[in-house]
Amino acid sequence: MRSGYLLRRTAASIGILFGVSIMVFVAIRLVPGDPVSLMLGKADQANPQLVADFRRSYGLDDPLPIQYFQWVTHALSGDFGRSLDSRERVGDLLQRRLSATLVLASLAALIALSVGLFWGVVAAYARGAIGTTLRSAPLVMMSVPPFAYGIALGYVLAVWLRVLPSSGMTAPVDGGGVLDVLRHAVLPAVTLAIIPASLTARITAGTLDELRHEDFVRTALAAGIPERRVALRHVLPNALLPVVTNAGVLVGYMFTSAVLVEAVFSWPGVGTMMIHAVENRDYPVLQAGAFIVASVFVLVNWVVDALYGFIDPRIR
Amino acid sequence: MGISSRLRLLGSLAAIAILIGACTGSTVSPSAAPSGTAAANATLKLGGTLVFGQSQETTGCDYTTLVVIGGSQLTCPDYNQEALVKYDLKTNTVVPALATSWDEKPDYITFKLRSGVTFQDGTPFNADAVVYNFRRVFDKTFPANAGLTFPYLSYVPAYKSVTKVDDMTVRVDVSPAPNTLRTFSTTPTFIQSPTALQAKGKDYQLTPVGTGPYKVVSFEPNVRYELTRYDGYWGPKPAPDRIVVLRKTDIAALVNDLLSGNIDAMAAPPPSQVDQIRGAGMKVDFFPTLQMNYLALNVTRPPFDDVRVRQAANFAFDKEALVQVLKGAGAPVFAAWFPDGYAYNGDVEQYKFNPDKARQLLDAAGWKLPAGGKVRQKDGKDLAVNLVMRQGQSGGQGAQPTVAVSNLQDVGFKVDLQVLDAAAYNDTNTGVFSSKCCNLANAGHASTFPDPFDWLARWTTASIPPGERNFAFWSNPQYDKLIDSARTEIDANKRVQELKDAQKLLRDEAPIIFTGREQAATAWNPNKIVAIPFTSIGSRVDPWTIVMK
Repeated sequence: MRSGYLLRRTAASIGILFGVSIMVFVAIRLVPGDPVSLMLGKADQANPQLVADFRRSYGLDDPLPIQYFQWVTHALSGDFGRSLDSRERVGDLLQRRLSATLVLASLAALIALSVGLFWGVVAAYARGAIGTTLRSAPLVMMSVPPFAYGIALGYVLAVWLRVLPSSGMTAPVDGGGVLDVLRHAVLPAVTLAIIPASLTARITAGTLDELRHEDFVRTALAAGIPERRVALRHVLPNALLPVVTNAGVLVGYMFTSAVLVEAVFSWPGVGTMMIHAVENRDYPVLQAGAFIVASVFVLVNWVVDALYGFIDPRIR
Repeated sequence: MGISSRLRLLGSLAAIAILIGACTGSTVSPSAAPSGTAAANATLKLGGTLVFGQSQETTGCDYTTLVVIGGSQLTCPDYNQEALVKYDLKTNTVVPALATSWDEKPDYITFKLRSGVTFQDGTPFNADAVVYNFRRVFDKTFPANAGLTFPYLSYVPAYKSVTKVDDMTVRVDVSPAPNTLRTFSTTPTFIQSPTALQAKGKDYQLTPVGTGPYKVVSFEPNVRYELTRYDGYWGPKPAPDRIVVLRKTDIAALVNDLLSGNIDAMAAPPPSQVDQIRGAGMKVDFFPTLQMNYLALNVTRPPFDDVRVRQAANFAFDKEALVQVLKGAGAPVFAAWFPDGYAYNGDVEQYKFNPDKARQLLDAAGWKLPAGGKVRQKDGKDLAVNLVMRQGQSGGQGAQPTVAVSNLQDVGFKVDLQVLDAAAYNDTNTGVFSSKCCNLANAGHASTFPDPFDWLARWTTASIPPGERNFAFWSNPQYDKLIDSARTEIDANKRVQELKDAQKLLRDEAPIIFTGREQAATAWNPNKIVAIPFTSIGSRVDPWTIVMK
């Protein structure tokens, strides 16, 4: 029974990825601007003969269905082609950029979950003005776009106080150690974490509020168990469920916001890669990048679906 | 299969390897000692690391295949590769580089090659290397040419073929044309190690091997590249031992990097932040370039099909105001060439700011101001034009549309300013390459040499898009004749006269508003660096002009 459900989800995921690949392929070609005349135009060398030569050498003069077929067959064997911009292998580029984004996104997720949970618990149990402030603050924080936090934090901590590097992923010279990357990751990760942390805090506080008045809590308290122990052992584990189910949304948020945050901090991840690729109409990089991001979404949702099935037998 | 390969990729990422700067360059040590003219710059203190920031793209380091060679930057191949000759801007002459002497005939040039030069991988530099390089770039029948595209072949229009005379002599056959020798200093003719070219194949452009003063340690497109000094270099050594160049598209991030000590110097600090940068104790300096900015007036459509309206637009534009906006990043230009440039025609009347004259010309053309109105009209139609610029146009080129809009409105135009992204701007159907796109196209052009020819050649009938970039779509047989003749005229005096006559025609017919000369800027930390200027050609940082503290 379970395997049937998983099989259906897997088939659906593959179908979605196939659809995404066609959509991405068509969509980026609908945008006006041809990569070759753009590239040569910027180089002040756009004459028709040269443009035709470049198009031929990049395989852009074939009919679209053939280009798509070639792309898919190559991609299935792990070959995403070469960037039109730098002529670098797209696979190499993706591997480098995706690892950079994963470093940033994992760190941000860690910060968001731990700070958000802590905040939510404190907010739910705090009384009076402090409680009200702690509960309403996340709403205010969520309504500011993340890049605004980035610019403000960067100016104060990097340019003014000089305690953290202002941008980049490593020190310009001899950088690249774990500590060096962590130091550079602090500002972008905090920036990226602010909104998911606020969201987590709100969900946690709200759920805790509801659960506190449930019968099992009253029973536990009546049995003489100390309130702190009831909160940590009985209430909080139940409050975690909605937080965990939000993980899919969180991952989506991380990837889309990373585009903005990476741009502010010149973080060499998938976000900045996609910005360059859009500017240059670098089709192979755009196709592979969009496809990989979509795959991450699909993968995470597949895992969440599988977990649902595991947790809740009713939806198998 | 698709999923599993994706999973494999994700799996390999789980280790989260930090890959920046992971690749290392060739470790082969040079076999031959430099022939040595190091005494020439004995005063230059060697040593130190230069960390430089720029917002231009750096997509590769092989000069022959590099597509975008943006101005105002520190360009990797300048440090790694050399050509047979060099063009000296100060003296306007060709000077030796990898060739020590040459014999120039109308249909061929014989180059004597420098002896004792070794590529950074130990390969000796000789006639075979030159023949291999030239055939790779220019000869479509040569195996190494297959599958490659060379964007700047037009820089060497006269090239025909190359032959080895002896080990240290090559003969290059050319079609007779003026100034051919200097074209052998341009990018398609940069010489690289044949061994490395053959060994590295399609990934060559990221770690090229030349004869220049620096080896490429690593090159990550759009992010960072690192150079280290090549100790076997034949000539005088530049100062820095090591050079790291960061690319960040956000120029404000680079300013922050400079102010916080993360980088030592940067290209193109924005005019709006120059005061802030100087206030923090940093230095900013401006250097003239060979880039002329302009607004092309589309003569195929009203109202600029009328020469009086074009002249009026020229008189209406306030070039001095533009320079004030730029805080030093520009210089005014009132005619079709730089006043201090070769073959400049100083006898034609210049377009100095004169709004009254502009109004008179518009009146004469029938565009009258209705009572109480601000927009001129003719036959019930408004004097409405659209001006198209590209997103990311910076410096004088970025600032001039705003000045143009306000100046043109003052004399009775209605101006619609449209900002297109680079791809839409360069589109042949909807962008500035189409005659239907716009009335005014905002653009600029950097000449390769301080000679007006390639700048003036851009306004011929043959240069009308989509082929070339005559965004005015202006066509004048008399002008075409002058330019065609100057293209092949060997007699220097006759050629200068033709170029001057062409400038007069451009002035009278006014298809273009020549707005200003771009000035490139560097900003640097004086605690680390004494000087880091741009050279005028291509406005790039010449390795030998960097002075470290």
